[in-house]
Amino acid sequence: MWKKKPFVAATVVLGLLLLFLFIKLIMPCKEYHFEGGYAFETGVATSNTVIYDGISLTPGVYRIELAYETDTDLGAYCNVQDGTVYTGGLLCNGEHMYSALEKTEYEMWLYESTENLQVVLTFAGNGNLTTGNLKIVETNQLWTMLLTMVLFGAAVFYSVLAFYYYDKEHPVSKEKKQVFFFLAVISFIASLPYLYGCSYTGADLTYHLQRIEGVKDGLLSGQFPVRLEPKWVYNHGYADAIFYCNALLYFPAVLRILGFTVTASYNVYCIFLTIATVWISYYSFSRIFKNDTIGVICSALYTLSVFRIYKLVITTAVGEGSAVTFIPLVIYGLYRVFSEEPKEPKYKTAWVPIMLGYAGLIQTHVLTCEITALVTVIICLIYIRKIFCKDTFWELAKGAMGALLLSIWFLIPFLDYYVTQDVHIKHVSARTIQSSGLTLAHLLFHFWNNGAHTPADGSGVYHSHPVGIGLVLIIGLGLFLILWFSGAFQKMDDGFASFTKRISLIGIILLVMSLNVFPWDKIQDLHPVAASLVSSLQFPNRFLGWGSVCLILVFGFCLWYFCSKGSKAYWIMVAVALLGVTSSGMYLLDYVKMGQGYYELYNEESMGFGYISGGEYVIEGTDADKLSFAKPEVYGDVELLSYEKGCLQATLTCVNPSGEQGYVDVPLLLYKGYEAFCQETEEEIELTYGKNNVIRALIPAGFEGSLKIGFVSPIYWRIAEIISALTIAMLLVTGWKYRRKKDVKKEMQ
Amino acid sequence: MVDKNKKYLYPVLCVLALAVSLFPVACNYIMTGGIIGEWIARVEELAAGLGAGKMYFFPSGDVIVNTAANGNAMNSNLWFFFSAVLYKLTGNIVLAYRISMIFLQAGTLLGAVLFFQRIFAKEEDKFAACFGILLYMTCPFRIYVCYEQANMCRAIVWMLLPFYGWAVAGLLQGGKRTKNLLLAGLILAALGYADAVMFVVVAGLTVVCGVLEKKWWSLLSTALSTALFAPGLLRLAQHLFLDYFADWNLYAGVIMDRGYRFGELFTVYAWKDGHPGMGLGLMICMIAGLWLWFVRGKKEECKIFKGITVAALIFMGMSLRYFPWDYLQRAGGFMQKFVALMETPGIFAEMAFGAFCIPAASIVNRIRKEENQLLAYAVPLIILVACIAICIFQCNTLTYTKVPMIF
Repeated sequence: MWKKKPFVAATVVLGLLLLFLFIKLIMPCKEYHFEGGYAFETGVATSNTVIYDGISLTPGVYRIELAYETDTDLGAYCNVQDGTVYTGGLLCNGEHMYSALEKTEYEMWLYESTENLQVVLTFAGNGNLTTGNLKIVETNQLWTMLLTMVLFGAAVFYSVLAFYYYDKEHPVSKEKKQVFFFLAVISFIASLPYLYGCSYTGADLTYHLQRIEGVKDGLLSGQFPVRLEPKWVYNHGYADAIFYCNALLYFPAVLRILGFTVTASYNVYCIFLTIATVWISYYSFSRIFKNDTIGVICSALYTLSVFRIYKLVITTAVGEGSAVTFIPLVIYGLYRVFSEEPKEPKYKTAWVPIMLGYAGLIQTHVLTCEITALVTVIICLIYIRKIFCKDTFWELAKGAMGALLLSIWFLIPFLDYYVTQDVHIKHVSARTIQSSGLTLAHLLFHFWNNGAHTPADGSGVYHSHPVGIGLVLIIGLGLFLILWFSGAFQKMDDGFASFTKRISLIGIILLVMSLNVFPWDKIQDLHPVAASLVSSLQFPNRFLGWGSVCLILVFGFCLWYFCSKGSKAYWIMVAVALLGVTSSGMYLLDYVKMGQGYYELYNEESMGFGYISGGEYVIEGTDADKLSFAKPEVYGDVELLSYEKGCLQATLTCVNPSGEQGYVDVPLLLYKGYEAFCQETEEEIELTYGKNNVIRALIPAGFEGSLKIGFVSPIYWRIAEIISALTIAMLLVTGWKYRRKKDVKKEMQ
Repeated sequence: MVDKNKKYLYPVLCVLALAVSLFPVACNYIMTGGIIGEWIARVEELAAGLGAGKMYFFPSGDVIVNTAANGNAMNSNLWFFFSAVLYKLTGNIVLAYRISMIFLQAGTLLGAVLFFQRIFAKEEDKFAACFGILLYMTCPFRIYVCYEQANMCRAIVWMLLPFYGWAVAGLLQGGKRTKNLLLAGLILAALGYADAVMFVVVAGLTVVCGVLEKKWWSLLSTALSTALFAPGLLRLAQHLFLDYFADWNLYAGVIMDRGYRFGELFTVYAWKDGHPGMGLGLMICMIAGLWLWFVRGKKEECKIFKGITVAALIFMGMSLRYFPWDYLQRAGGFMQKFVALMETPGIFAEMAFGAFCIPAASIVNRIRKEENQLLAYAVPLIILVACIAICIFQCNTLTYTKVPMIF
């Protein structure tokens, strides 16, 4: 292959491209300075006032730093414009201005040389606003972005080429090609919402984009793993990552660091997630049914399920949408544990899917993990006798232990904060959820569109959000029950049929739990712990995720049953599945585009830094609305001589000449892990909660010196991280050895 | 039995394709939306002119300015003469509209039948001809142009393109060369009178393809059509080079941002910004074609169909908002105005979907010849159902959501 002409030609082109990009990367970045100033008239609102124009720049990603002074927050907006570059040649959303900041710091993407770039300001007329000098700083992100794209393109190209030549010499079976082909088609169709060059707005979109930006900013500030998002809540630092694991968000965050825009990074991540869902669900279902075609059909039903589209595309609940990816692994693991013969050698690997599935769930969405744990407990109770079998128990225990070890890097800080920090999430048990439940009609609905109402507002199905599972799965369930009660499965004495029967019942229970007739309110009244758990669920429709998986398994079983009988009903079922996917999943995807608004976000600053959804992870009592970019506040006789603020850290020089203790409030939200010490004496300075729960450094009487405040992960968090890293390494080595052993066995045969 | 079925399949599919595309005509009113106002104004002016002994071969400035007929400003009224006579005779614009639309759909069917029968002339390829007609008649973009955008000029282009393809295919196949040459020239000129911009695009394509393939008759036929369409071209030249119609304030801005987003090419049920997708039928055909190539290792053997597929892919690329139309417009002068006259790069998506119907029909034919009988029957059946169902859905949705304009 290496000597083939296309390969050589591609390698030469790639080499030249890489050389060009490396040269561009090592070239120093330029800075452009412009002097000037503009004073806006108080009380006069203006729009797009040109502050600087005629700026000449070559293509690149630039940071715009415009000095300014203002006494109001969010009263003005700075942006760039250029009527001379081609449409889409200049990407930038600008940045708001704040009284506590001295300059803007936002990025713009310029894809064409210009002679007439303008910096413009929109001023609401409130307070004073004066602008100063302008600095435009070139970054090398355009070239890192292009390098990433070239490397990705090369990887795809070489893979295709390698496959082409391999297939020529050792023909790949048609069955394998067919599976790959249809999974690629499903991936493409399910990824369509992310191929519009924009992000469709959903209730949670800004929040999750902030999470991605948080990981990016955390990594850039030197944290790994990222625990507190440094720029979130106006540079106060937010503990989102401690409570809401962001393991998968490192991927879009790295894309952001490499220079991709906010929207592009998000869309690429969602496409990656969709492809992962397609392959994982195919893997799980095809292994359960030992039939590739049924695996592909179940994968299509799952990836294009109403629930998944609702969560990931419509509400843009990225956490829950990501968790959906891992649910099939858990059900596959449970199927193996409870329906395979423990004495068989392959049984010894039954714990692996459970471990991977649970680890994925913990590290994406804890609530889905809780529901999964509930389903697992129900299944274990149903199979209580098997649990007492040593092998079965051991497989379950290994799965649970593996998941715990893989996730311990997240769980330890999570539990640490949950126990020691009085965060707002611990005070939401009063929220009831029963009224947000569905009606039976929701479950029977098929032609969903994005809708405008949640079931909670008493509007029933009228223009409702697609909180359902689609009629096709209900048809599958109905058919399964008919077959079951007509005795069709009686002669099947293997564990598979009995497992599916139980899963069908669990599916029905989960669907009932999503209805508004399920007594969630009464359960909440039983005990404070129950109240807290139920309240944290927020919406009963969360049960539809597992409900969908259970019913897809049931649908797949019907397919498998008819297939094994050689019945024509198999093809009817295949047609029903195809009809379901095209008339429900694809229909919904189209209507999302039709009915949903969209954003084209390029730089993170345009989103602002304040949105924290329900503010679940601030210290109880914090008024998030009153937080903005701020300067330190001194109390007592303390005199502040200098102040420098970084990410999750601040350095200040101060004197306290009085004989009494004074204090300084630093604009950082106080969480466990912050430390302060005097740089000269290395003496520790006490920190306590200040105004609105920011860090208050207590300055001893007679203090004179520099004070450094910073966030440091406790040592036991670090140990937990090492344990997780060792577990991953151990699993990789074991997996590699297992694989080699298998290959050697194959070769021997 | 099988032969008997085949015999009936052809007319049944044609009737079905025509019937579903005529659904909105069943309304006894003209629907609001799109640029139907422009057609009404043109027909009314023509009819009034007929009464006064005046022939408005091109719409007056008043009609263009009042209806903001930017993209169609250079288009003649020739094809609306029939509607105007009907309106003059009956005084009923709705009746004139409905009869015109029936003729337009029937004309499109006739053109599609002639074209697909000619390119799939062999008896064994009849199946492909059937599906080609079905795909063309039920193409979501065509239905959108006819009823939702109500761009009658463009709807006539959809009617005439298969006739043009029929004449060109006749030339390619040899035999009666003079007749086909004259027909091609005549039809292209007729297309020009419907839409001057499309004339330039199609004529340009004919010349480029003809020169590349050394088919010199293409130059002749284009020259003939140019001569026949001289009044229209003169008017277009006056606009592009002499700024003759400056008073009309025709759109002269950029079109790049009006292009398709990539995902929009693949929508089925719903769309916005005037960007319909390829629809389910065509999408399944494309998937089936890729499946044949990747899994079965069976490639399209016909060079012309391969060429059409490549052309359609290029058109698709040109319809995207990433295609650098701004660069072309920056050349200034006539280029700036000509591109602006297109109004949207979406017209290339229109051409792409129309062109895709040809390789798609061939794909159905190849699937039909598969040894696996289930596949050979099921896939065409699925495509048939998808085309008909989506067309009915589209027609139903637009009649359901559009307010009546004139009863």
